[in-house]
Amino acid sequence: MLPRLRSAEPRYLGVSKVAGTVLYEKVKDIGIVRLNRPEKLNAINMEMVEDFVEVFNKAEKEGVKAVIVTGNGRAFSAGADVSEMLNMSIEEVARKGHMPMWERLRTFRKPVIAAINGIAAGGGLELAMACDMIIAAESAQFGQPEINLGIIPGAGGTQRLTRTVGKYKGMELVLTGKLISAWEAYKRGLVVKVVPDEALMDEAIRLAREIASKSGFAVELAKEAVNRALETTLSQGLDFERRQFYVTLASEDGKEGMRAFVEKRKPTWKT
Amino acid sequence: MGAEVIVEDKGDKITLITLNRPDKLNAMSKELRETLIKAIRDFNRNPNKRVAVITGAGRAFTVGADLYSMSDDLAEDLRSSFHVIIKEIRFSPKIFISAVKGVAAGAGISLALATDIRLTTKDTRFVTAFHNIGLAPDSGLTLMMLRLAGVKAEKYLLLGGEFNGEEAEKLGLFETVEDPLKEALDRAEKIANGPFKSYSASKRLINRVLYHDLEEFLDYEASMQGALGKTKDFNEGVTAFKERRTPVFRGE
Repeated sequence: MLPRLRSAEPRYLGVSKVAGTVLYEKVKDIGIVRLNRPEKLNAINMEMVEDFVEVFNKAEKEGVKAVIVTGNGRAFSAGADVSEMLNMSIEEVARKGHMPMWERLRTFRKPVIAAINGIAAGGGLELAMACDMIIAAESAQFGQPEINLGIIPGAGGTQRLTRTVGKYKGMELVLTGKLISAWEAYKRGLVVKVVPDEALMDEAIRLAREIASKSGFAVELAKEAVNRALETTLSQGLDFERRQFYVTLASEDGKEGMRAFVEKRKPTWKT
Repeated sequence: MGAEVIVEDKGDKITLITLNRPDKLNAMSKELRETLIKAIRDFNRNPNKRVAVITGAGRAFTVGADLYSMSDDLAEDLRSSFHVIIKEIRFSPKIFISAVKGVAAGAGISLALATDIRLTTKDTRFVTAFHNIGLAPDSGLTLMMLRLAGVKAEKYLLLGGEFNGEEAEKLGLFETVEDPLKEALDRAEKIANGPFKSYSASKRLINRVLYHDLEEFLDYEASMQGALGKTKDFNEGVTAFKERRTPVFRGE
């Protein structure tokens, strides 16, 4: 039996609550991170950015094998905290802003699964896209509504989205600000799986556990290589992939895995 | 002016929604549509509520769109109200029952078909009235009726027409009963006090089979109707309706 974890009522299992606007718990070797400003639909403010970084540092230190990011309450995240942003100087936004959060995710070596429990709009969708995989509750909605405020996405909403859904759908979403359903997001390849609302956390944990059951080192190198695909030409990407492949061949887990395969037994991973 | 939609609690778990413009056969004006959207959304958001019954006051369920209350852009009318109503009902994890008596026409049939349990009487008249004003069926009628009844429903969708409750039952669209509203409330009671999670899950499984493409269908249908709304025939159809005469269509 999987622990029942409903986004509306977090239950702490061997939990350490780190900070107020982001909750963290560790279930075996899976880290569960919950954006926790439910009354503000988990709008991302500076405090949340700091808490988010702190929580991920902790997850890294504790050696989790995968992380799930979800929202507490009825939203994943409705985006950046607009009233806070309005009161910040442009210098402040440009020098720091939400960058620490994006940087923290970028350098996090373990896979991060976004489990979208409700609306993921603006910075909320950008956060989801900065993760490695997105799974969605069937009532989730996705969009980049910044245009309605006279601004544009600032953390991947025009870049990661376009690379995923293509130029024309990306253009439509960014220029109209409209929201799409979980099933539509699934059809566009933005979401890998749509599940009943009440099954979201169980499914996220199943997926995380499946990944956690692999060689941790191989998972890290694979994640790095897949991410590189979007940042290089094919030949550069293939070169990078091949070198990563050589590293896994020579790694302890690689040797163990191949040996186990030949000996028709289950491998025992070291990492 | 009284409320165009009456919302009543029938105990903690059941909501009765009554379309209430009896003198206009509950024609769905813009105001009625907006009030209905709010009523359904309130019901959907209320964690205590499980079953909604939708019915019409007086002699009709509803005759569909109020021709005196349509915007210049039919695509916009559909996307911002009719389709919202259909999707709120269809994609809700809760159970909706329609109690249809007298007459249901146009988008009124769509409204009823979007519900999970559809009750009517043998002599209720169903009129796919769209073609009389130069339009095509809308609010998901084509998809829902063909999915529920198969090709036997095609003729009503292609050229328009009328069938009664008895035929609707044969087509698999409705069940006929003596008193649809009483029966609807009885069933609502049983569903609300039964294994509700299993009913809700079953509805969502049915949706994946019957209505997985409803959303994109509605979007396509809206552009179709938007284009028809700009034709001379539509203009003639609406004018003739208001002048109570037979329209003279030219296929333009």
